Amino acid sequence: MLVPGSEDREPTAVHDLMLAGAIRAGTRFGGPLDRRYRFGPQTVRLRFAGPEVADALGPALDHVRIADGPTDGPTDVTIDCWDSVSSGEPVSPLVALLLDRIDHDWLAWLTPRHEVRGFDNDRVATAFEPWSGILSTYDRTTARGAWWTQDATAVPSHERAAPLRSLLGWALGELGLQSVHAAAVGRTDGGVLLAGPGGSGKSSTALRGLADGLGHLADDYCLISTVGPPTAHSLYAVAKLDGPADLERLPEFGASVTNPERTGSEKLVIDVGRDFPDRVVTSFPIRAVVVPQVRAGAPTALAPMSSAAALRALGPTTMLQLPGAGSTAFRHMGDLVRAVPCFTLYLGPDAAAVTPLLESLLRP
Amino acid sequence: MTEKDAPSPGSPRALPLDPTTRFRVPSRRVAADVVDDEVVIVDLASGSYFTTEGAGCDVWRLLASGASVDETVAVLRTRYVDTGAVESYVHTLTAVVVERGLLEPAHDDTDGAPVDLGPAAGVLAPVGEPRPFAAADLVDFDDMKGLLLIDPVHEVDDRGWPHAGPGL
Repeated sequence: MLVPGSEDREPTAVHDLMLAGAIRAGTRFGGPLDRRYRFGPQTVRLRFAGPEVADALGPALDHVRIADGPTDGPTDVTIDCWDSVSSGEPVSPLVALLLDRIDHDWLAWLTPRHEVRGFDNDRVATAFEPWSGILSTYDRTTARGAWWTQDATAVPSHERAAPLRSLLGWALGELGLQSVHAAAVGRTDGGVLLAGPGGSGKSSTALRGLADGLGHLADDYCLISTVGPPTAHSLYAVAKLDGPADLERLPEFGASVTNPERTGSEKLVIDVGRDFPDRVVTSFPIRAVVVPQVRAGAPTALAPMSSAAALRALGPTTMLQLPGAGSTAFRHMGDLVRAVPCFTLYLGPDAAAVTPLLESLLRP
Repeated sequence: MTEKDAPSPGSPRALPLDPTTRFRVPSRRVAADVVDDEVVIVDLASGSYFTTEGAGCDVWRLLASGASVDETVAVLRTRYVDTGAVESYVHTLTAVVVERGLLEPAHDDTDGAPVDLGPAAGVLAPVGEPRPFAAADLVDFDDMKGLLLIDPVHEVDDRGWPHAGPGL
């Protein structure tokens, strides 16, 4: 009987079945679409089983795409991505049973961070996103990942804006690049990380910077390296706004919204890589951590913030959104706030003051 | 950060503690780091996070390093001027963090064995003259708990949360 924990004797069972399914799915298309992407110093190979999967997951990553086809170049991580509807390849009976169990009793099968109980262990990370119906597995020993959903055309906008987040977090975290919940703006010679929970003003601050000429590295999630000078690396070249009210404040981006039909039900997604390619920055040294805070009726201003307060703004929101993140991940964030100055950015009504304040922090 | 001379009256009721018990951080549930003189602790199961500074940070670092309550009291008395509040404070704070699940008794080979705490506990930065003692609360934050219940981007639909994707 399949019950949580009963499969610990076979820690890679679900992952192996996922990979086998991905390979069969790719074969149905005459082979997967094989692409390589560069995240900082690491190369990730993504193999998409069919165009629907590539269309769902690929666009947000196009700015770091370095090669297509089964080249012999070095690869640090390989992730196979597939769906059942477009490929006609169903999940294996065991995986189907697991998904059915999760659907019927999610409390028994999912941790609060969506790790799948019993199938998430020291070797294999396994998570299921219940809103999106996405199952992800990653074998840390082989550096192989698998991503599946039933129908790639049904992948919601927020997943398309930040695809493979768990898988890239697991894989690149093993290689010293920590995924964090933060925006990042600046130039190739230096930038700032914008930290804070959802709704704190990260995205609107980042887009204000973009509108005023700053480079854009991240809207919501990016990678940091704290070995040597702290450095940020881009994951996705997209940005999001809460809704029409934000767009009224940033009308420059009205024509760039990719999901206008979903206004009111989802965040507005802006394809920065497509519409502002010359502003996309893929890496920069981190000069400061900045925590935006809306303060109506008061001037827009910067104020020093303690490193511990910055860690409170960056750490918990990252840790709680990233399945599998543990003490090592938290320590990376601690290393960052210990290494660079930290500030509160009070956001008053004077939006024009935001970018000059950020620019004042970019110099070494 | 609220500091006062006695444990917070709002803290959970102090549980009876064996002062020789050693503790450890339940690493699959809790992540913590010390920055400057403050520890930030995240409970990955509940979504709450916590902070304490000064003497509270010292207590956390000692307990998380394997010191018993008695040993922690002894080290704090080398770092602070104890006018009689240190022992009660350490007991109460220990009970609070254990009750919250941020530390758990260490049931392994080191349980009960002395821990080499070194000068001034080793894990703590050395101090010159003992400082005045000020009790620091464990402050908890609940503003991130929703991350475990609702998606940061996509709102819950009318079927409620969670609901597996189509076709499952």
